[in-house]
Amino acid sequence: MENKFVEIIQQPSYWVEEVNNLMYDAMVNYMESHQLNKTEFADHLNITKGRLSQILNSGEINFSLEKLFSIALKIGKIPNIKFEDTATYITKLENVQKKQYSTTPKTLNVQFASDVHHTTLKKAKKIAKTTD
Amino acid sequence: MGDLAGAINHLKSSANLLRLPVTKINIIEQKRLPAKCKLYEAKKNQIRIYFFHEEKTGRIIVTGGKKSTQKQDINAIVNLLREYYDGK
Repeated sequence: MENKFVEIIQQPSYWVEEVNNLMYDAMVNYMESHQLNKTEFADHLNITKGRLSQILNSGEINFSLEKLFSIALKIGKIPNIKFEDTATYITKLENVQKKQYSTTPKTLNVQFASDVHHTTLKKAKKIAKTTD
Repeated sequence: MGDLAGAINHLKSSANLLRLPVTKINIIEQKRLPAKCKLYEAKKNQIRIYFFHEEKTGRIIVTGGKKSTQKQDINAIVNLLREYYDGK
């Protein structure tokens, strides 16, 4: 496993966003499937309409654990949290990668603006060709 | 590193078909973009990761940057994408 990716999953903000994104998606789905407007949904969750708008606009949840779990339960979701051993998690990811790519795994390569040049274009074309 | 990790999670969540607000994944409207090419950015505070969607291929990450250089970065990406689509 690439060291950079291991470094990324060691960052708290990666996991904060994981929870934020799952919660946002679950809330929007519930609101739409139950055809609730913002006022009705805020009442259902027992939070203010302003707080709900803030969440729906920014996707930043920032609840206490108790409030987070309470909201999850109110939208019909069990907050099933588990703490997994880092090495086990990385091994699982590697196994998924092995299944997805029979050859060398492609790595997530984030470059910065000053690096944008023709080699990036060539790489992108190569990727497009190999995945066609 | 923290913001980059957050933005990468937005990419992952979006790839897993979670719905995200425009403050996290945003479509970039640019008249100079090639037809049918949709350019997106994943955002976390100052960090931006740019990617586009290509049919049958999926999402291709082009580059990353910071909010302060967003305008120049998008211009460079649009030029790159025009060249990419011209060469196809």
